Amino acid sequence: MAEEIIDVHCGWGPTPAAPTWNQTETVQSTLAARGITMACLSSLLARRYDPIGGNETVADTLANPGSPVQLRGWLVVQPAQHEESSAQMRRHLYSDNFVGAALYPNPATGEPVALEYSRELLILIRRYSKALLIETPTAEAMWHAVEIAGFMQGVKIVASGMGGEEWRAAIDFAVKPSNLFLDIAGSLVPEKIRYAIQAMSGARKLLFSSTAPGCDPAANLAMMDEAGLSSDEREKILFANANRVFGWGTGSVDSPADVTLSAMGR
Amino acid sequence: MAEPILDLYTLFGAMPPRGAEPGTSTLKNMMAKYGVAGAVTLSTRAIFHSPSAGNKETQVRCGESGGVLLPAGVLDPRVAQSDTLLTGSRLICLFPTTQKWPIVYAPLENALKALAGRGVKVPILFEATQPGDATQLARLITATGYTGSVVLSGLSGPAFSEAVALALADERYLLCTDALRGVGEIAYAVSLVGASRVVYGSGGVARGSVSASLAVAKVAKLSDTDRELVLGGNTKRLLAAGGAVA
Repeated sequence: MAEEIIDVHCGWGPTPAAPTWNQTETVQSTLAARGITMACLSSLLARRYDPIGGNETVADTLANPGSPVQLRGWLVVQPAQHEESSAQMRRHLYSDNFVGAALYPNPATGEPVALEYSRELLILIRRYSKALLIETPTAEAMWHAVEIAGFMQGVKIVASGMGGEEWRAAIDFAVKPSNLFLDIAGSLVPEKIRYAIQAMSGARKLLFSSTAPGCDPAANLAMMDEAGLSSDEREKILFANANRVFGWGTGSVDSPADVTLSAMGR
Repeated sequence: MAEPILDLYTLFGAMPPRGAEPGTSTLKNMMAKYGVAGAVTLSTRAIFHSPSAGNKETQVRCGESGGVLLPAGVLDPRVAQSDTLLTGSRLICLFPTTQKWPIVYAPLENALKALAGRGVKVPILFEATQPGDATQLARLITATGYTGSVVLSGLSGPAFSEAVALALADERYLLCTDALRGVGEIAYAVSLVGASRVVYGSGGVARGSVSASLAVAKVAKLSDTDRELVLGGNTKRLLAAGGAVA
């Protein structure tokens, strides 16, 4: 029986299909039914429209996170709101409730997170010695994340989305930086996981994430099942690497495959 | 499940720039592993290289499958008289976004007219990822007199809303699950248009994951009856009603 699955990147906020994805009970029960034991949330409102207000809703949730899934947060920061983001980081990033800061593509233009627009904010983020998440829905976005990883030596960076449909090029870009980790969200193509393991000479830089509610965690778990991973690779992706990124203790796992099959109703 | 699981939308072959992915063995292995009894499939060669060679390859591979795979044909209006390259197809697939052709396009109109004129009523699977495309196709379908059902695939965001609007207006329109991967999305689609209008299609193995799309359908909050319709009953009904392109 699996004991630990860490979903390193989940959303928080209602969608038309999941209108109660801003209620702890819904999120807890949905994630728990898929076998998730810990999830790191970031506000959909903060990503798209109001970083400050959205982050506060996540902070409020983390103050009373419920159970059985442990909930942590990403603090969404926005270079265009430098002062407000800076103040909010001071308020929240010293707390264990937040695992780090998160940067998303420009919600108005879709432009990827780039060093040239984020340099001052990144310098601030580095002070907190926490992880940084960068959403990378394209290969170009991954290219920029690699550049940021070079600038942020010593900070563990989670690139989320694996370049989307452009996963092959994105993985190729991401091979070198030792502080750059890739989650398996994005295209539901099992082959990309095998490709990443081959390109990176192992699974040590891969993390599990679903980006729920945009993608059901059952899909990502099933994709991992289809990829035909060894038990060691699965363990690393499901929780061991996340423990390393966030500086948590190691967990144990008996058979992660059971959880995948359970999520699929088998 | 009493009804066998049927996947209306699968693809085999390579996805450029990667080449050389021969045959249907990966698809058949995945279907066997995850309990999918049958699938409608097409060769990616028909999308990216040649509808003539690709559709022939699809026919051959399906013929070798012992009835597990049924052939879909790609209608590529950029190729003259492409409606004549569909013989034996149980599903006609249109990929305007991937192949970069417009919906308002005389060759497409001619092809649909020709098919309607021959009495073809095979279901159409339409790549509806771009907002507005499905609406334009619906007008074209009406104008050309084509009477087959239309399954809209690649639905997310505004394309989903468009598909729902079309399905509510005309019972021939159905929603494919290939891009309905979010929490609650399949149940939401069923709540809007009814279970008889949502059909399981994975896009696997060339464009997606059989297991992932199946997992989302299995965890969807549906009644057993509705789940059976989505996972197999609707495909069975569509294929029976549509026959094959003569």
